[in-house]
Amino acid sequence: MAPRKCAEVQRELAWLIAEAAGGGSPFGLSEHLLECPRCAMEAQRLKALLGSLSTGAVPDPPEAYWQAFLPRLRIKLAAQGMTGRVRTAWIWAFAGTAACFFLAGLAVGKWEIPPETGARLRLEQMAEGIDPDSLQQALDTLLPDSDPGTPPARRNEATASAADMTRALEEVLPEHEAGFNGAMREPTPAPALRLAQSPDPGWV
Amino acid sequence: MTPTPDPNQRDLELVRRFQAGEEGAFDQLVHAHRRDIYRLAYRLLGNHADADDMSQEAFLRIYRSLGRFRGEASFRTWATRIVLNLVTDRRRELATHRPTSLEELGPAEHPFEAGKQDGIIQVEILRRAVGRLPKRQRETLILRVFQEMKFHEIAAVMGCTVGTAKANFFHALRGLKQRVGS
Repeated sequence: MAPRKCAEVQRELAWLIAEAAGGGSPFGLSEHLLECPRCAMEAQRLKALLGSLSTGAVPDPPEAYWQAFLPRLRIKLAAQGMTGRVRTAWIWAFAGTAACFFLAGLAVGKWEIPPETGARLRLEQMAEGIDPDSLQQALDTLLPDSDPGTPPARRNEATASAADMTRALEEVLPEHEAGFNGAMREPTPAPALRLAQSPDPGWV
Repeated sequence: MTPTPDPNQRDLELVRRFQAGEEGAFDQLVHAHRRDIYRLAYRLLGNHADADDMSQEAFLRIYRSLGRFRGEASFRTWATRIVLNLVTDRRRELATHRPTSLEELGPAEHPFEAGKQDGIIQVEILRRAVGRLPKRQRETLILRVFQEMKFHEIAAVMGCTVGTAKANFFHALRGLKQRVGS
């Protein structure tokens, strides 16, 4: 018996036996094993080993476990699926909104502030440094047609139109531009200095 | 007498129905494969708690991926590959927290086999010896002996040739034989 042939047989013995476990005889194996006691012994050892492995079967859980298997899985699927969908929807909504604003900003080139908002912002900015009573008096003088039923602190803000407010500002601060879109085109002087520079500071 | 339907064809039909929107088809797939997947996970992880966790995780992964299943391999092969990948990830994760191999995990525990001591020592020796095998050999051995997969199926699961699968099996048995001294 050539040693090389035994080595080849023993190399293939494992899977030949494994393949034969389902029935049938491995091709050419029986003849060799009849002639070679060494390989026959090896085959017996491998069969015993495979047999021992097979006896270590996994204990089957009781039927109650299998009955609960799918419901448990469904609960996990529902939890994970719902979470995933909500999170994804929010991310896409946020990203879409941000993208729309970004594209709109690019298309317009600059942010336009509505005239009324611009005028109101400018008045509020000025009012921060001016005595409120003096400012209210100035506004009442400049805008006599404001609704008298509105509380004094809110009257002009509530009823004054952009044109009224612009006119008021032009009179108070003639050096400033009338339009307020793209506000703060030039530095605003400090309130006290601004009042001192006005043509007739006595109006306050 | 009605002929038994081919499991592969049945699985493919269930997958097709699931992909068409029939949720119940997934339940039937779970029902058909849950024991196989649990047993494979148990063989690879060595205890009921991990096997249960892994089999649930495997079906979650299957559910999420089933829409992309093309049927190039059988559903069983595909699902087995998912379990092996998950177990590999789990072992990697455990490597930093717990003993890395089956033989270091201590005796196998199963809440349903209390009192069954027959032959448990020999099984335990073998189990530990299987746990000491290199990963590819261990997986090949488990798929062949316990999952009763053909070598061409094992090759598909492992992403190797049939010859490599057979060689892994040969080396696994030889290593096992040396370790148990038979």
